[in-house]
Amino acid sequence: MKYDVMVVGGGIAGMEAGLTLGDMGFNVLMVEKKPSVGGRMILLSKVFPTLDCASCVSAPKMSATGNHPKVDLQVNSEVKDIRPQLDGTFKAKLVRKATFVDPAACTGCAKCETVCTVATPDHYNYDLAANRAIHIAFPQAVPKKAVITKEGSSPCSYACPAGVQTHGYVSLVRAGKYAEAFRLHMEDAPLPGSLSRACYAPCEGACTRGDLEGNLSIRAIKRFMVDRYYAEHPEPEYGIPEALRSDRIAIVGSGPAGLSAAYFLARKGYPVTLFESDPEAGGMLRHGLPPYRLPREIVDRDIKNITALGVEIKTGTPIGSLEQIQQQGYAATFLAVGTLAGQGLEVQGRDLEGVVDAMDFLSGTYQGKPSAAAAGQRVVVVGGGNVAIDAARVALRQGARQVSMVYRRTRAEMPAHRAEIADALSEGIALQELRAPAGFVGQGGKVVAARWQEMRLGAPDASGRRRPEPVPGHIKEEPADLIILAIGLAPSTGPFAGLGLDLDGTFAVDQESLATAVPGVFAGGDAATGPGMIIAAIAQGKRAAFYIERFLNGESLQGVTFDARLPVVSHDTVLARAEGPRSARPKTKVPELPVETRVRSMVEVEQPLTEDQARAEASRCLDCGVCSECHQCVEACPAGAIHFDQREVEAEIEVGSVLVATGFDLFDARKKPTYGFGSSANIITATQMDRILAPTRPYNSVIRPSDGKAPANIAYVLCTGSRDCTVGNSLCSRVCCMYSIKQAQLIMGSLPLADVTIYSIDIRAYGKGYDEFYEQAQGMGVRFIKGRVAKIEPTADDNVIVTYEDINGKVGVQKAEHDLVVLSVGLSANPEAFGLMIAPGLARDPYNYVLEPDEDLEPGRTSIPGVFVAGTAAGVRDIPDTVLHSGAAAAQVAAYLRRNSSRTAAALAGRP
Amino acid sequence: MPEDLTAKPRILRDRAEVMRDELVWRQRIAAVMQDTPMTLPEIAAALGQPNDEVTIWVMGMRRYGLIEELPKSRADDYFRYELKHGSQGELNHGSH
Repeated sequence: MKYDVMVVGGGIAGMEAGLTLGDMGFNVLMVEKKPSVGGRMILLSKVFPTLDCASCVSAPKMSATGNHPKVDLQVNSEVKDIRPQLDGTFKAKLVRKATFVDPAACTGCAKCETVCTVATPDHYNYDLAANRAIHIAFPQAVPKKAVITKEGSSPCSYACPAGVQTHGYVSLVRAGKYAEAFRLHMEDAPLPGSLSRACYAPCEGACTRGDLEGNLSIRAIKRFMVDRYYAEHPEPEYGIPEALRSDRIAIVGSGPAGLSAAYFLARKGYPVTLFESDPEAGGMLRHGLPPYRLPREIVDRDIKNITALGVEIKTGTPIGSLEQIQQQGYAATFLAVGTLAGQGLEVQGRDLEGVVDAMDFLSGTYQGKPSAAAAGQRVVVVGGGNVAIDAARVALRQGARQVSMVYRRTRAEMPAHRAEIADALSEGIALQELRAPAGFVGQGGKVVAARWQEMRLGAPDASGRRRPEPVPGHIKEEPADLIILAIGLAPSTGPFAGLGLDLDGTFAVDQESLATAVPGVFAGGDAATGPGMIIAAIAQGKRAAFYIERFLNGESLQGVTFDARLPVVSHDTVLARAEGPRSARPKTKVPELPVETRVRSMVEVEQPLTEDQARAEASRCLDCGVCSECHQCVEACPAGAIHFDQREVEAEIEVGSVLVATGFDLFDARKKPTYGFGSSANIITATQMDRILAPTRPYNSVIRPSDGKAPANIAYVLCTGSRDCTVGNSLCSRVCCMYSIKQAQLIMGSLPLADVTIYSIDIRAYGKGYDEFYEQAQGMGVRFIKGRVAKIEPTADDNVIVTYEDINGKVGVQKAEHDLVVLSVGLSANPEAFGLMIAPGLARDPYNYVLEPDEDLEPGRTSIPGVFVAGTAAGVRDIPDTVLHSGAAAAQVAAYLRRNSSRTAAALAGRP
Repeated sequence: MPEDLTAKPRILRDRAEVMRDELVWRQRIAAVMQDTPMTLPEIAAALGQPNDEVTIWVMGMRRYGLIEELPKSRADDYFRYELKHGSQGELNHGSH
């Protein structure tokens, strides 16, 4: 792409210069980083001294900029670098940021804003009011298109292996949209009920609030959402998809991975048959997890979500070989056989009656088998993982006389979840650390005792944990009636060994596509990864479904992106956003049944949050990524304009010259702590006051932010952050006196009974009509006090006390109480201009504005030939001076382009 | 000027944190002003929440068309706000 000139910045200076150059016939590229042109001027109430409406003056120029045939306006775009070329032209790299909205489709109807569930400070109203993560910048925006503020993936969502939009459903619960939250979850992962009880919630570990008072109880929020939805929807809301596909798919194993794959494939219209060897579907959910953690009616309701799509589950149907499936004509197969077998233990007495595998014990208990009876027994569970904990707690609930766990390392090395270990111990289960089974002693074929080898910790092994070593000669025998072995789970892959297995017996698959060596056969879940979290198995099923569909469509399984989430936002980035103290919001404690009650039954230990608790917990969310991807806007948008797969785009361009119009920065009033900004809602900046006075104000009238009262006694404090060496800015900002007088006049028009006082060092009213404007304010009754303000403090009743030195009146240090104080903040240099150029960089003046080496005779020229500057990027100036300066800069650009093109033509013609 | 040396101004919360709470409080705000228009301090008192935070929440609700102000005479210090006709349905949206 080639342009004659690139204008960087779409404020009044950039627009004026760009339009002038466009009118001259030059091809202009205007790059604006924000969603609209207009800069700061469009946000003003009126302009001084004419009191013309700022919108009425700006809007035609904005519209002209957006529609000029010679001006190519690129909003939401930034210049990454500009590189001078030998022929006097420039190459530049542009980045068009992702707004997640197709501007060509968006009509600016703003329906998306009304349904958005993330409220954020509205920077166009200088944070006085909230807008939404999806928003139109302001009513007069050009172009008037919605944009989504999204800084990346929220850590909770990013941590989820299945890509569940955790932030999304949390924000929906916060907004009271529980059914929508459930449906959003179902977009990313089925089995929300089971997950709400038994997921180890990696989202909670990633939560940024964990760096403050404690992470959100996300799983408890999910449980509230699921329970509410299931109570209102005993049956799924949907049925079998209409457009059925012809390719039949077989899935072996109805655990989380198999169910997940079936769900996603059935949603696409594929006929899916699930083969399950057990009498009921659910795999580990039904046969591994105890009902006190996961009630079976929740598993049943979760599975209904899948069968409602037409998935056929053939229970009691073991599959003995791959051929058994292939003979039935399935177009693709997914093997998700899980890890329901126990690891073997070679020890004397292993085969005695009363020595059982933990998975057999657990599933036997749920099925009422006598072999799993622990009532009245002395039970010892061998192992330190979650299955061991489950077995011990189930034995206790069966009425065991005593239950202990034996682990060869110490509690610190136990792989079980910390909370579960604590729960087990709190229920009275004993933990015997540094012990390993040395053999089991039988009597009449039944175990009566166990022999325990004492262990000690040696050097760390490959897992990083210290290796347990036997202590020679230390073996102890203790009586026991039931020994439950929970020393690991083994994959049930035996019948499919011909596909290729890894050393640990899991399927050897392509890690990305989960394809096996046999075309059309995929494998995943615990049987491919080894024992893992439920949500990880669900993720595997989702991944398998994605690649199985590609296989069935004849598409390549290589070179495609299954997981295209945005990079995660860092905790530091989120925490740095806070401008004031955060609420001290302790984590909501998830209620539990008391120990004495819960150990006598399989009733669920964790109890649900109330609606108020769930919403309060959800409101602790820091909206890390800003937009939560709750997808409410997607559903509300009548134009289908919202696309979360949009990504930023880079472009390389060539331009004949560059015009820098990056504007100014405002002084951050927090850097003057004695003025109290941030300590009271009634100490505001003049830019905020301009918004309150503007027709598109954030409030319904001129009211004070603390309580909505019409202010009756307002003070202005001039030179806040200008003419002040204590904050590093000795410059006069040139505009503060006049904009304050302008606002004082507008207030007196809006609130005729109000008193307005302006505290100043002096009033600088130079310029056409400025002094008359000052005198007019005095005539209207605005009170001017000459004297520097020393301190501003809020009172307990929302008023504000100003301490100042009165030079002309009462003389000396005085105090005055106001009900609203406005800080007339100064302008400062915007450093953005200096990041544009790759060497040589733009030279700067002593105040960090862009240097104009010959300001008097060559305004607009910078230290680099071909690069020009317009407006406040080069120094403080008011709007009329900015417009004049922009005209001068445009003339300089035009002259440069003409000179350079003549020079180039001459060089091409061989002339000197 | 009288000075109460014991009373201290409340420390303001981070503004973004306050704004996020609008989504939680809007139904409760609507509930307290269900039957009668109220000023911002009256709403805040009914909810037991700080005036400045309620101001942010109510102005957010006003911006998105759920609440509107009634005319105020010059003698009145405060505007009164009422639920906009039809907004109740939107506030109750969800959980279906």
